[in-house]
Amino acid sequence: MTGITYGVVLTVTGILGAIGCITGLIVTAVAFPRQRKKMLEKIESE
Amino acid sequence: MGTEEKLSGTYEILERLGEGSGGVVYKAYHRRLRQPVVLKKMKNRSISRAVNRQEVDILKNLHHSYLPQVLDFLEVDGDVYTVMSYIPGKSFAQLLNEGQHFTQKQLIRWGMQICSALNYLHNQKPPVIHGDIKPANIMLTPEGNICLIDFNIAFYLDDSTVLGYTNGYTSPEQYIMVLSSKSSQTLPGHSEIDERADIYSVGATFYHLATGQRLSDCRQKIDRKLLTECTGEAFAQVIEKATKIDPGERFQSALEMFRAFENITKKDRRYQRLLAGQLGIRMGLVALTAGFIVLAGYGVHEIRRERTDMYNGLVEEQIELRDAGDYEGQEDAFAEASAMMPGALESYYQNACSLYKQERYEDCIAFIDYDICENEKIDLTQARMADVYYLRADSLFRLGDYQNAVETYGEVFRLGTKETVYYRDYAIALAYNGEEENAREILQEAIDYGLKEDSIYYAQGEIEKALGGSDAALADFRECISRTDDNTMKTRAYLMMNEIYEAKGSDTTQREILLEAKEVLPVENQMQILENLAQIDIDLADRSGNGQYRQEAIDVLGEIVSQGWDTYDTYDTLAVLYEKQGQLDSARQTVDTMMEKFGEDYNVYMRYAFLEIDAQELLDNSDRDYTQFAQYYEKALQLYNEEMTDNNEDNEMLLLESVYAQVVEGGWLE
Repeated sequence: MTGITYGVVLTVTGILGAIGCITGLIVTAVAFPRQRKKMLEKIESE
Repeated sequence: MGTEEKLSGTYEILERLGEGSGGVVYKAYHRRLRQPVVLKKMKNRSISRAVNRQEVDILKNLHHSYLPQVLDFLEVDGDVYTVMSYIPGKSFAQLLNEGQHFTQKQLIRWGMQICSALNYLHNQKPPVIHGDIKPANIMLTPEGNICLIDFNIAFYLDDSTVLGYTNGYTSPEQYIMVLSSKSSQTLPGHSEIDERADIYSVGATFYHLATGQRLSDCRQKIDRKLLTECTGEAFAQVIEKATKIDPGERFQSALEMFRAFENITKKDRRYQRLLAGQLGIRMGLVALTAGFIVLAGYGVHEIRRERTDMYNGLVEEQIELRDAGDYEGQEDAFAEASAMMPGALESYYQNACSLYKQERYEDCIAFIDYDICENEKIDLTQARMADVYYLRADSLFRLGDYQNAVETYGEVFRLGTKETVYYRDYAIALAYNGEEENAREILQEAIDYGLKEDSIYYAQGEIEKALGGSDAALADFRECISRTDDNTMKTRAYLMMNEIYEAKGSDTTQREILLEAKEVLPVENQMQILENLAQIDIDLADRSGNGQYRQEAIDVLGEIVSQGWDTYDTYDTLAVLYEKQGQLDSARQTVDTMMEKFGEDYNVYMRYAFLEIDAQELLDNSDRDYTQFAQYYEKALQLYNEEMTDNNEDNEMLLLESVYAQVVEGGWLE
């Protein structure tokens, strides 16, 4: 079975999308605490 | 001697700091400890009141960063003095008087420090309640930290101690208790003071520090709007809660208030919006992840469905190609289908059908045995296997292996099939295997399951034929032919009748039956009929010497070739017939076609050699040249020696050798 079929497109899209979202979650796990800390520092300095 | 002189033995009085609630407060120098200390007289302590030394030791053991160290107690002239470490810096009362303002950050930090100190005191056993928290009792050290001074030792020591209060900082319940102690009546309100009184005082103190305004008394509520303007909503919430009239509505512990201070910045609206935004993004990513996973799962499902559709398409292609006679194409389609879904039986079954249709019964059986039954990926218990075993059983039957055919039919019915045709053929196999009674039983079962009339007559004919009842068999086959619309069954019936007449030796009747079949049956069903007809014509020609039969055989074989049913034997037989008819050119052309289609072998050159001999014999002796004959003979002999094994001999080749010997003996060859 060769060729890019509808099923292949859906599967690849799903996998890439999931990987992208999981990567996004990992990035937010790192970036968001820093953002919160900066905001707290900003508020405290006012 | 005055009091100061009596104190001077251990302490060097440095200055009077002021008047506390209990009396004079001195700053002194402890000669032995070599450090500055504070001496403070305890209010209204009488020397006759017993001082519990053990409790004093406990107080002396209080150690906290934001509390002064209790060093000792003194009795001088009947008064009790506390000795505590001297805290440098200014009190917040002094700072407020100087007009100092404080930022929210500072207030939060000091609030946490005070709560930390209070938490330490309140967790002592028994708890130490300060009882007099106010700006004047909070020092700001040069390091920028607070120190909570002047916590009420007397409060701890004696239940009956007279309490003090300071307007604007003292809790309502403490205020009531103070009033009760001064009145002869017991006032309604709280009967005891606990940690929450200190909580109120901290709240009131920090309200003053934040706004610069002091509450007039415990009945006055805080100005929330003013406080919010000075410090923000979150800070105002903390102070408001701490200064609730009802202690049950305040923070229930210093630790709780500490946490509230800690979280003030986190309650800021901008921070809360940021948190909400981040949560929204994370929730969105989680939802998207789940969505993509579902999408991928659906995609896999689609791929499986597409693969199944493609597989089914290839199986249909197998059937179409087989029906069209394109067996090579069918094999290619089978290879592709089985590679795509190795565990699916259908393509294997169709390939077995193709082998069966080509009458390659041994290949069909081998394919079923090795490619299907020994294929671990195929489920051998599925219903379709009944059809596979049927092909095997019928192939064995065609090869005359009736015993194994009967055994294989057992496998067919073990899978629970109710195909009446299978029952019919099983009955026939049993009859051929000599099991008459079982054959009739199975046929009856087939009839009970609804076997059609034409099949019943056919089966009965086969059974009678197997048991030697040829006349009854012929009658049954006649009935079958007259009743059936199934051309395959009709063909089989004619062929069975042909076999019966062949066994009887009635070759002319055979020929009549076959000619009748040729008229009645459609072309696609005539292959075996024509093959048998050609053979009977050859037999009749050989027996009678009538060349007419031979020509008819040539015509029938020509039809076989034109229908695409030609095999090696077809051409070989044709070549011999042409030769016997004296049509040497046609014979030679036939041998040429044979070599072109099937490649060279000794038989081809043997035919060429015989034809060459025939051609030379038509010439005058003086014109004869046996050189070509010799070449054909030598080539045939060479290939014959290579191909023939196990002491097999071809009689025609022996004849050719004999002819060659004669030619040589006759001196026609050097």
